[in-house]
Amino acid sequence: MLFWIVAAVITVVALLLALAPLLRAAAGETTDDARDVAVYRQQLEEIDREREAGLIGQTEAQTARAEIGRRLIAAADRADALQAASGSGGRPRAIARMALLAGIVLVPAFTLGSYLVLGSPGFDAMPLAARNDREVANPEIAELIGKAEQHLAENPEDGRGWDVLAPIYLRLGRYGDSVIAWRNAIRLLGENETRLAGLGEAILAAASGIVTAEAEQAFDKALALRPDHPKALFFLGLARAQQNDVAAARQIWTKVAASGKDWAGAATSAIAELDQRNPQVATGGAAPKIDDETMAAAADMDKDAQRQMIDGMIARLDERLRGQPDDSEGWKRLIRAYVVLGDKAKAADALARAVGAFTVTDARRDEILAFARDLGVETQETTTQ
Amino acid sequence: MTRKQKRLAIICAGAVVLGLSATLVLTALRSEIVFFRTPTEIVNDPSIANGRLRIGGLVNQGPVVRGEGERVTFAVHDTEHELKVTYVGILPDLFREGQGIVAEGTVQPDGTFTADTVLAKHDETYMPREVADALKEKGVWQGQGETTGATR
Amino acid sequence: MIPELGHYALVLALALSLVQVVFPLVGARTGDARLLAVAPAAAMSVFLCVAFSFYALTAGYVTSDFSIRNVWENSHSLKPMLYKITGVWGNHEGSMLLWVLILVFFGALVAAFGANLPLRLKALVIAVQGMISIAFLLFILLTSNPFTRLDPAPFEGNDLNPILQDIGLAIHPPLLYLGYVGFSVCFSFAAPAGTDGATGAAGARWVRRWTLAAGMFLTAGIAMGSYWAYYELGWGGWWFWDPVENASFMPWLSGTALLHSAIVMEKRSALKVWTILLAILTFSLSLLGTFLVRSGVLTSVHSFASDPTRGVFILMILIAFIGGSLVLFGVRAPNLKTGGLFAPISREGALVLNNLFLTVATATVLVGTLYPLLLEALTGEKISVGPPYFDLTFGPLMVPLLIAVPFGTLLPWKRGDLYAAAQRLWLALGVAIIAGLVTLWIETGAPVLAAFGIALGAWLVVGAFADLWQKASFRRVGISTGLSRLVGLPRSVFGSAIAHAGLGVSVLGIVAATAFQTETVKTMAPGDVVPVAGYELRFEGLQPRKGPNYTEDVGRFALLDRGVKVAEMESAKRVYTARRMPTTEAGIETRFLNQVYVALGDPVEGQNAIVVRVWWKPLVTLIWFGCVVMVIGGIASLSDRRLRIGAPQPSRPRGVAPAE
Repeated sequence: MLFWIVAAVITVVALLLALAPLLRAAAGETTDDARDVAVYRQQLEEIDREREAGLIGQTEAQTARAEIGRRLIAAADRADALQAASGSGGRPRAIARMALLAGIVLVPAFTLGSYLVLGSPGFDAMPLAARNDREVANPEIAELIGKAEQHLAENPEDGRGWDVLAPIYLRLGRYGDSVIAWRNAIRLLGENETRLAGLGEAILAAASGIVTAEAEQAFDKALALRPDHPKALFFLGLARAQQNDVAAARQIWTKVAASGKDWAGAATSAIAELDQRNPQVATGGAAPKIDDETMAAAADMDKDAQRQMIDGMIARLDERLRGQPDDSEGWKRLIRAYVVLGDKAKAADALARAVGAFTVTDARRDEILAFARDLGVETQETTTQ
Repeated sequence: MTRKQKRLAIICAGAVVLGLSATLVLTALRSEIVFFRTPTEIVNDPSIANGRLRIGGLVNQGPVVRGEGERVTFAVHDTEHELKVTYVGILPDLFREGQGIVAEGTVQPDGTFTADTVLAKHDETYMPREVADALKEKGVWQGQGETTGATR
Repeated sequence: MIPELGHYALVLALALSLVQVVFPLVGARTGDARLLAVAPAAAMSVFLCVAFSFYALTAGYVTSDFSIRNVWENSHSLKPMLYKITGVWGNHEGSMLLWVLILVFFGALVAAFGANLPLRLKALVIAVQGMISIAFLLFILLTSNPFTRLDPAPFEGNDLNPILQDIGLAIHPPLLYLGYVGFSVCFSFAAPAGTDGATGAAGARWVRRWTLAAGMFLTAGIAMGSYWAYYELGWGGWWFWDPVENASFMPWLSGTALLHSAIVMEKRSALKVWTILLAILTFSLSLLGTFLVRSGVLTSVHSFASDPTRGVFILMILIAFIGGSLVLFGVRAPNLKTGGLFAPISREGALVLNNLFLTVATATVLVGTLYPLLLEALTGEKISVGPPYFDLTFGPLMVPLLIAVPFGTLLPWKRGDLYAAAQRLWLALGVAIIAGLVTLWIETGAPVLAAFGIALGAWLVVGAFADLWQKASFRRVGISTGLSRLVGLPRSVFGSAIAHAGLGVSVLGIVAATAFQTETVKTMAPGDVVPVAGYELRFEGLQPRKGPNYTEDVGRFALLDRGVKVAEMESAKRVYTARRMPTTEAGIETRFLNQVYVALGDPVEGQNAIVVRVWWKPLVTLIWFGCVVMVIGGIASLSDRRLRIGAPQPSRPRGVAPAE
């Protein structure tokens, strides 16, 4: 509420400032030529001064005076002519009043309308200092990170520090930092399956859920150390799925699901999704960006709570995209998330909204359409195309 | 001089300067530009490898041989073919194996490349644009960012 | 709340910019003075809105508000406060907001200090400024919004890039933008010209002042960027003819041309059409520069990360403004009255020559910058155009121009006498020849071309003051009267003398540092010595050292002059711990005007030795010192508040030839 009051005050002040001249009585206008006359007069005085100071000779001063005099007379003539021509006015009053009205109505309307589309009204500022005090839910995380980073700045060779920090970075969505932290930990402490799988996960998260060759290599190494490592296995399955090797993906995920360990839930829903989709199409991730964050945060929760958390995050993303539809990455994430959850109707609906958010000539529109087609989601328009 | 003659004089001066500089520009564009080639292009068609060239690709995993102190030898590949590069001087900070780089220099009669400039990326996500385009065609890489380099 | 208010204020600024454009245009059509008067008021209002918006973003950086995506991407809670603030424009979105802030600030300046302008002209100028604001506000809001929010907000920002935490890089963009955007005012004066009198006496003075101010900032910005690249990148170069550098150099060249033709327009009411065209071209080149840097269509040594959709948007702005203003120009130019006549040999003639060379030089740089793009678009062939091209095309164009500079300042308006001017330049010619001969003598076997370059620099420096000397005419009136005359001269006369001398100083630095630099690449073990131009550089050894957030291997060197240590130097290979990011810290030691520049390479495996690259850069500091002198000259000229006119020579000398 306070936000809207302040915004209204800003609008009124800015408008008042801009339109003030319309409120004043019409002031007499000096014409261009009258101004030029003043300038030429000053130039003449200038010549006299320069002549007195001995800077220019008598003859130069004379010719200069004559030339400026010519320009001066011409300008003065024009000014007089204009003066004679004008003199009546009365119609402008009505125009000014209309302009004033238009300004008062249209400016706030345009601003409000555009802002509601672009902005996130009511989203408070979140300065870090205040958050650290206020956010009871996560005080230990902020503090832990601050401490750990300070510690590592002083002792960059402390591998255990990097080891602790890497998964936390991942959870906070700082995928790039997580990759660096895992690499540092591996460099200092050597490879083990947890670090390698963590590194692979971070690389994959940084690549928006695509299992890159580098990530796959990390998972392979982790599995070489411990063949039944659930996280590494799960993502290896994802890699197969993204490489269109559906059979291999299903086989690997079935193994993970059967193990009943941390990643079993994710594997079960991944298989379900695999079954739902057209078997020929198998790109896109069972663990998109949104999932990674949630999985990491909810690793210890039971399956229902986990599902609930994912639903909540997707709903929030959906809500945000209604407010700010100009976010092609966001749309892709949302569509993928609905596909992952097996909600085809909602995925199609999201696609339709996404397509509506971009103009036909916008490359991002085609990008989203192609992306959705790969996931097996289609709108009316894409089928008729 | 009459008014017309004065104007003519100025126009003539302008035409002369323009003509001369146009000649210079055309000469320079014929002789001083540097083409970008990939190792595959050079291997497939050695005839294009005359004059100064820019080559781009990934630094081979294989050895970067530091000879005679300042002389460095390494190979650059575009996943299909590779090209041996010799460079005298200091390599850019971010030069390392697997890195996308651009080198400028000439192809020697023995088929190796002598570079006098080596450019490498500035951060983890960068790939010199020509290299990225060339590799994209082969479906290996995509991305962009900043670059820095070394020249001599 | 603050970030959202900032976002809201930015949208409000867009709405008010529309008012700033539409109202005065309607007013100009209907002749309503009150509608015209809305323009300056709206410009003020828009400025306040954008300033608030910029404040809101800065506040986000200062308080590390990571719910703002832009802050999260480009800041970090551990950054020093100074770099948190400079980080606001260290990225695309923030720097575009700064661009617009400067733009509307200039609009507000015209509104506030345009008292001596006709209301109608002032309103139209501000309306054109408003059109540019609309285009760029749309660009920001639609493609590069700095106020996009993140929910949930991350707890830590992404960027702690050490290379960008540098004071030189922090000041460089604002200076450059002040220059780029400064030309927008000249453009706004030129666009409604023709029938509306920007070419009148009052408008012409404004154009010249703005061109001068913008040119000064651009000079300072380019010099700053060049020095940053020189000391920070660690490869000893100060100019690479890189597309991004060219992007800022082209407006500089055509802006310099504009500055000189604006003088003719102001003092002699001549060259009106040409000046208007140049003002349009200069701002177009500024926009082109923004496009080239932002779109990433060119590979560059130091470009921002880029995005093709943004490039297309700026390209559209570019086409709309250049195309629109050129059409308007074509329609109205024929109506412009031609001004005073002049003979080819005269001050005006010299300034036309200056314009001719500068614009052709701009064109050659433009061709060299865009040709690779064009060729790739047409044939798919990838090429790069490097220094050899520019040496061959740009260099020869500059030589006659630089030779002509001292003559130009000595020629009187309207018609002049080349021989009389040459007579006053004997001293400068003498000094130049001596400088050239001395160069040949000191640097035995120096190329004649280099000696010529040095002579040219000396010619410029000494010749720049010939005009002052002549005006004081010590020999005729004695020291005291001469001095009092000198003091009585308008400051702009000093300004042009200083600026031209500064140009000469830079030429000296460029020629010397290019022609006489020596470079040694050598593997050195502790105790080894390399000779560097009369000095000797001894490698003392390599030591590991730990900084606040990095570790480094420091190579320590001693600079010896005939066996006596005169300076210690350090160059380091640094690795920033958290990012595993290696950088090279060059060691630079200034001896008089020359510099010794040391950079470390890679250690030689198995030996206690390292590859070292050592440069001797004679007179290199003059390059940047000359730029500083040029800016000082600009300040002197700008501080001259007196109104000036050109005193023409009489057409028929009566009796005795006019006094000198």
